[in-house]
Amino acid sequence: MTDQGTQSPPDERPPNGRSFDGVMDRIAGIGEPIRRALLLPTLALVLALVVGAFIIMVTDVDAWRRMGDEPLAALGDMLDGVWVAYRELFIGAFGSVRALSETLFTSTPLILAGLAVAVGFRAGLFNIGARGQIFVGGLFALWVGLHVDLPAILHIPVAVIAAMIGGGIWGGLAGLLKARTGAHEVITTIMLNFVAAFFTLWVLKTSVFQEEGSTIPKSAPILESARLPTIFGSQYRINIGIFIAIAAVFFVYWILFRSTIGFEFRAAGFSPSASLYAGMNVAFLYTAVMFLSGALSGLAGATQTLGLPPYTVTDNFAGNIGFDAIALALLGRSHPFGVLWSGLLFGALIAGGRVMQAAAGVTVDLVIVMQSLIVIFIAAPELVRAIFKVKAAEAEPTQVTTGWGA
Amino acid sequence: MKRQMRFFAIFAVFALVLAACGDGEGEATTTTEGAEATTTSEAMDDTTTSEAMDDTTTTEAMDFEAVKVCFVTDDAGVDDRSFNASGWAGVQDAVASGAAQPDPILLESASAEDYQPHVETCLAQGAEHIVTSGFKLADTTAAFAETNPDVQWTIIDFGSLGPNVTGLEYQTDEAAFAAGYLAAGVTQTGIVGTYGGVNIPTVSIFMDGFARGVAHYNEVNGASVQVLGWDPADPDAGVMTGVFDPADPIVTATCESMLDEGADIMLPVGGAINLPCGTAIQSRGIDGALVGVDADAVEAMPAEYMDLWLVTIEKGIQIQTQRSIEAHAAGEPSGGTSLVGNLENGAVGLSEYHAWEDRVSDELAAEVEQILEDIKSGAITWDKFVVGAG
Repeated sequence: MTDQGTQSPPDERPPNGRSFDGVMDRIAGIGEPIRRALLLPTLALVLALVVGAFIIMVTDVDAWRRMGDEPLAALGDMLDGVWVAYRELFIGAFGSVRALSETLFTSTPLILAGLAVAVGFRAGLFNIGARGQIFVGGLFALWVGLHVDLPAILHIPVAVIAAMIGGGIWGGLAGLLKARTGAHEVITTIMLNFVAAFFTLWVLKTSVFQEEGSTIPKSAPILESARLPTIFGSQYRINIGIFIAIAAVFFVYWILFRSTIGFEFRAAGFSPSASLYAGMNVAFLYTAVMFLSGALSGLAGATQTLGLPPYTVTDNFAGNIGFDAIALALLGRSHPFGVLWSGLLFGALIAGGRVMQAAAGVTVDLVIVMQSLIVIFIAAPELVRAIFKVKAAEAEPTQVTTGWGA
Repeated sequence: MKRQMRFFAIFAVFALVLAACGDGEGEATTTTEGAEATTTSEAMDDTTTSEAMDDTTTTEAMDFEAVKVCFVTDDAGVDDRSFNASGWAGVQDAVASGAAQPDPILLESASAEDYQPHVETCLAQGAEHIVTSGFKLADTTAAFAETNPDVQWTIIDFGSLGPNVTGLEYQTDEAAFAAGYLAAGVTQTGIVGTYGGVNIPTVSIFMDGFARGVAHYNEVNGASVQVLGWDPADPDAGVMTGVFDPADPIVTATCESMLDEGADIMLPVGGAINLPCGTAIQSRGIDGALVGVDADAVEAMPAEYMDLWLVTIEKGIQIQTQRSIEAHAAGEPSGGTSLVGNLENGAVGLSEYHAWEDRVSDELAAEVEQILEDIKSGAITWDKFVVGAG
């Protein structure tokens, strides 16, 4: 990674900037910056859909069998397969109340974990540890959900805060190690992922979480009062977690672009040595930003343990969220609103992919391939620019970190 | 404009090239699939007809009223070379026997988030029989089975969860016991090893039976073959990788540490986590073997490991899934009961010795046969694993 073409677009004012126009533009989605921020992801999505269509056609075994005898009909079958798959993908993501519920429900932890990674990127830190932080945060929430008896109005906030503390400690640990010993956060967060995953596996088999008399690694059902309330009744999974995620988006926006500490985070991301020279406590900043990042991942863990019916927890509750989050943060250009949009996009792809799998018989792996393609196209803006002949200024590369040595 | 034209031209050429290659591929796939189909049907004939199935399938095959089947995997996916793969194969057998309608629905889960929407999709698609694979789906299955009493359910590796849910469970330690005896009989180093994916009953039951079988060999023959990785007296200390992903380096490391200690016959339990162990045995040039689990490894696993399989402890998930669907299609659904597979009903057993055929002496083979008979008759018994603990 290089330093060129990174960092703040011209509209991002320093922390004491007074105008709210930029914010309103972003929210309304009409301003020039948001148009530019969305252009590249949109083009990448279009390209991914094209390649995905190609993959669906190439893997249509039945059609290939007919290719020898009636090539035109076979080609027609393939195109039909693509049409059905994408139609079902769309219907599965947006076509009904259930679909919308599933899209938002699936997006919730993705947005939260994506914010976690984005905060790290802004401070020049590559947090690969969202997975581990989701585990630890989720377990903290689970413990509160199982063992603390409170009315719902208190129980949920306490469990959610516990998740933030748990995730924050797990993330902050990596930050502290970097600040004190120089251990690279990429290495430490990956390793802490393993520790958290195996700890989860073990602890779910202990009497702390396990149902009495059970021999399988599965928690007892959490208390009713700790379950995140669903919004449209229990037949739809969408719950108040989505509001937590949206609140977190605004909170992170405020921290990063409107607070002093956020300014310091970003300054440390630009140049740790310059920040040090300017009198900032870079060691503290690394720990703080990793704590914040971990706390956001911990929130994603809370939505997985408190909000996922049937409200019993098995070992792999972090799923692929921790890694999808990295892709998301890249796609969203490490901007909270970008993460919100890309989280919704990934959620829609995953929710739609489930339906596509059933109705069109296309493997769900295709969705993972498409997510990956989107990120590859985002990471290779030259390619997108060459194909669509977009002006260089409009498809500027995404900021990641200042480099491995940072 | 010119540039776009060029782009489309390249695209078109690419498509043509692929069409040409793909044609060949298509044919290739057809042939292999044909070949596979033959093997499976042979294998089916082997197990099905020769063992317990002849009484039901052949006679009732005509009376099925085919049901619409939907299959939901757990987060290991259908390519796990384990219970998900076997269960799905059982669904396809049910299609072949006319009990299930053609084109059953397969829904692969990537995470726990997928279970409920997948089950809902099954219901929305009008499935009459839903097969859920593994204990991770138990709570979801229980909830939806209760609210959908007209649908029949089968859950793999778990007990019945309601009047319309058939549980499939396996007393696999019976066959594992005989495999342990066999392994103790062929080891050249006097050390055998076993490790599992995660310490859950469906995994450790194999290891427990295996270790007891070795102990039985020692007792009968005055030998002192050692078992690494499992002690029936201390089940919490069983060696587990913690993962079912064969690509995880911990799997190879676990196997290699046992090879370092001198083990030459290995029983890794859990999907494909035995394959890295096979690679380790081969690359070290050890004259050893693997004991397979679930479906006959010679059929289920890649050809490069073909010479390594001493025997497979077969767990008839495929046949029991088929039976459960067939019972439904025959108008007598088995919901409300657990079908417990054991040596007696043929849903648990040992495979043939395949590549090791010549290296297992006739006496040893006869002793193993006798042990299988003795376990069936109850002449040999022990404190077996209780299956059905939820």
